[in-house]
Amino acid sequence: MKRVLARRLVTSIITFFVTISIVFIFAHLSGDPLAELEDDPRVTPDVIAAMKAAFGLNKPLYMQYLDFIWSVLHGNLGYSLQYLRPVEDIIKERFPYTLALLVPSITLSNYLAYKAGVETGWRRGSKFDLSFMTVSMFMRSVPYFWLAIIFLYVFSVKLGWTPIFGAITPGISFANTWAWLKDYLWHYILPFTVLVFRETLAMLLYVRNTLIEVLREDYITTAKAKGLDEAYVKYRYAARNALLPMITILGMRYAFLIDGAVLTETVFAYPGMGRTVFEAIVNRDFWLLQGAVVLLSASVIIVNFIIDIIYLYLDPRVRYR
Amino acid sequence: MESGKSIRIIMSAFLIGVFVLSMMTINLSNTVKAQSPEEQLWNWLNSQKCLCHGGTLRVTLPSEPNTLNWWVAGSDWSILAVAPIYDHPLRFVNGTLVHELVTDYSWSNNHTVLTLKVRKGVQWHDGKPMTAEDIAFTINVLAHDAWTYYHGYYTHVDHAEAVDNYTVKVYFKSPDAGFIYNALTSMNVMPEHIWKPIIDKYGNKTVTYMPKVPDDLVGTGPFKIVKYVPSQYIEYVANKNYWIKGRPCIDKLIVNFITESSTALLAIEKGDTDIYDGWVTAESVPTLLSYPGVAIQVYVGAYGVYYWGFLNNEPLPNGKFKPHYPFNISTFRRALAFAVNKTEIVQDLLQGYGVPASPGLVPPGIGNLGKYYNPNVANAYYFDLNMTAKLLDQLGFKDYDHDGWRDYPNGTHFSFEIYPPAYDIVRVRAAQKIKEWLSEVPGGGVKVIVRVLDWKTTWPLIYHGKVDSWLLGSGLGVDITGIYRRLHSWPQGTGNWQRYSNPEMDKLLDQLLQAFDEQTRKELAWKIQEIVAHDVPMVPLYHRKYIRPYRTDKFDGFFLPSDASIYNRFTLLAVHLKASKCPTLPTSVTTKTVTSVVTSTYKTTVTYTTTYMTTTTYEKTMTTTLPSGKTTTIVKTYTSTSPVTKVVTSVGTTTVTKPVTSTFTSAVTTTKTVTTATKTGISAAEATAIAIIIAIIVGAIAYALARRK
Repeated sequence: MKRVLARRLVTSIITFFVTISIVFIFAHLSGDPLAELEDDPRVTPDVIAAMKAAFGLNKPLYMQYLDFIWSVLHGNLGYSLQYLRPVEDIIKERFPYTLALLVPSITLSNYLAYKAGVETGWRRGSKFDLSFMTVSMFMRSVPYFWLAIIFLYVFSVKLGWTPIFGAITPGISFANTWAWLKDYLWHYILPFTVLVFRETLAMLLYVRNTLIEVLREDYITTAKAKGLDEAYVKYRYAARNALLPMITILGMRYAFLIDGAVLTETVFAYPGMGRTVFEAIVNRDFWLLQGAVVLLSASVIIVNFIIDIIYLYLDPRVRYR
Repeated sequence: MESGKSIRIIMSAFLIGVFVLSMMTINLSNTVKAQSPEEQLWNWLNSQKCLCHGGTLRVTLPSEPNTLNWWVAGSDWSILAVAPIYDHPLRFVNGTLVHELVTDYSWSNNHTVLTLKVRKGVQWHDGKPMTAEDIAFTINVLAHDAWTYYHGYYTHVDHAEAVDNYTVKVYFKSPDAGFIYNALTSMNVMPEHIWKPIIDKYGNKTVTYMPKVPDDLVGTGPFKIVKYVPSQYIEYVANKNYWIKGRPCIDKLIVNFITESSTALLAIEKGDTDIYDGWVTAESVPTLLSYPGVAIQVYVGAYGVYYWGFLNNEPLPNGKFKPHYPFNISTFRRALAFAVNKTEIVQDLLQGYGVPASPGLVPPGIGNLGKYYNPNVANAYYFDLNMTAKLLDQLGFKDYDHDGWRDYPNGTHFSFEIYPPAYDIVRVRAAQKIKEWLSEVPGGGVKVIVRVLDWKTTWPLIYHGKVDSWLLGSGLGVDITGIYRRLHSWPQGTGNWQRYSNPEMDKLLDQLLQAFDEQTRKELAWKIQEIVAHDVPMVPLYHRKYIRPYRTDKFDGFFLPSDASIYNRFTLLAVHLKASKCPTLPTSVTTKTVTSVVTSTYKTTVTYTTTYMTTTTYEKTMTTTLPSGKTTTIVKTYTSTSPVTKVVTSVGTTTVTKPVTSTFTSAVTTTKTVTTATKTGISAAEATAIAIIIAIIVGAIAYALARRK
């Protein structure tokens, strides 16, 4: 078991460095972030040269790469070209919002998807299953962006239950933490609901399909034939075995959710890393992009590492391989 | 018959007389003194009374500022974010030069020394006086430190020095006629006592210095910054000691950031924001106007132009240039210019939200730049494919192999490329239109290949001079000297991506840079436009019109220039709560001024007394002395909403009170485009309903099908 863990750790570290190298190469091959300044009458070539020197962009590419790896190893993520500030500062002020939005919404949506997936899979072909499937298929094919705008239109503009944008009401000084928390949650609820709604419906199909496959297994028939309680067979025999592939998908969803966050943050004008990463890509803000990727790939790899450990407990076959 | 005719003549003469007389009375106040455009602007501001001080103006920007450090701020949003806290020495307002912190300027005879007179009695937000030292310091930093973003405007400056507390002398290495208009109208006067220690300490590293909020963000502007929440909002409060007394009227300003324009428009609809200073499509105008309390401003982006550029000369690696055949031939370029239908581009692609550009590059009469427009060049070329065919035939570009496409004079196949950036659908479609028009040239079309690539990929191809032609949107600057870098040959013409080169043009542009007399500038500008229209280094296509939605139910006093957004300095100074939104109604009269005495035909003396109220209203008292000796006083209370009835009782007078509903009129005419609110497309609510119905139908079908199995 220790050997398995050690091997996982080594592959994780290699994966991390490969990921950040790929991002470095693609970012730097795709264009010059300062090129646009050439058309600005306020900027002279001296200014561009000075900025290139300040951000180390005048060095050959391999030197820039070594600089980057060197600073990553030292825990220094450099300066953002766009924001002209340390990348750490930008991440520090935005990442908490993303975490606070994503972690609860993934957790809740996975739990809901698990429950609903097991129930619909168990009763496949029933009215209950069909109605769920139809809504789920429809919602999956609807552009996420459109869905979020509709939520906003209905709940914020028409019903006036929630605010339209931001994470906090602008220009208010709060009397106490409780007042702040209330305002924060009031802004939080809609982006959170949209994310949960969307993710639940997306995950539900995976869970349902794996459960249906498990239901075809002989041991399910045996269990049923033994006259075991339905709920017992459903959760102890079927759901448990269906859980394994789901855990893998869950890890992957965590990585993919950043793209969901980009859209959520954009539509709800909610602060966070998703939008920042997106804008860093558009503006070719190398250092910020690299810093964000270092952070994101590190967190995805850590999540996957944790999932691997969970696997070891859930699936004895892995332990003894 | 005869008498009837003469009666008609007498009647019409009488009517004309009445009309002329009435016009005279209306114009009486305006004809007393001819006002300069700047005076008109200040008078407009004075006419916008603060009915009461208070209220929070909420403005939405489509992007967050990258930095609050103005020295290095390049993006529009970073500049806008700090704009309320600083003042400029001079400012362009609706194309008029307005004196802000500099009250007067004069040039030495050889135009190498500029003397600036500094406004007295201006204070920094921290209470220290603003002096000539601060202006000299700001100019010196911008002129000497290449890391500042605006450095390009100060390359001719040697140094600046404060002669006394209120006089600055700026010394030039060589004369720069554009300095006043380019540099002084965009420069924020920065406090020396805050920034000198920072710049001394950090040097070049000031580039990455993030000013502390609010300690480092001290200015002289109408607002003080109090809070900055990254990627969410900036909060400002009114500067009570602003040098324009009693301004601003509002006491708080909140600028928030919404990237997605649909969300911003929902915020406008709901009333969560008062101004959205971001991109709005023409399609959303009818919907916006259907919301109660929402209006739109339309202005022309007159300081930038969208054009079809041709690579006249190809840059070589050794820094020299090689003619880029056939784009180096002006007749060839003119032939292509005749194949462009600008009106159709503006009408169909921009849906009317644009102005066709002049062949001379200078915008037709819009903003400050438009003052230099030469109308003679307007018809230098126009949409006429027969002209294209004629000119191409002259050059020998004919269809030799009869495949329907024109070939090089030597008979080989000819085609060229246009590069529009992928993000701008208008330019992509314009390129496709141009391709279409050129394919229809009589006697054989011209083959055009449209290459749509990501902007970050397209742009290096253009600025390295690697492609035949492109559709670009470029800034021209607020002053006519801005065209220097767009038309001068290299290396001075740093924005001349066409690599256009004409010695005569270079000579005129060099003269323009040294011409200080307005008449000479205009003459040179006209000559330059004639050459541009004749040589066609590029085909100017259009100037875009921009749409800005704002809410009218809470505030009055928005300043709507024809060449800039509603979110501008004059709006910030003039915007005030409507009377109905003011917290308290007036209770006492403070000042009374007798403005005029008019003797009427009934031999009664009418005295108009203007009464300003402390907080919300503006009153006019009319006292009429009747022949019987009795005096009648009528108090008119002017508020912009419901009338306020007020009874004034005094001994020996009869008081008649009349409710009146008049509003103030402004001295400045501002443009406002009225678009009829015809609803097109479906609203989000209808879309939801349709979506739900579709979902139910799909569900029912799926269910029915499943049941059949």
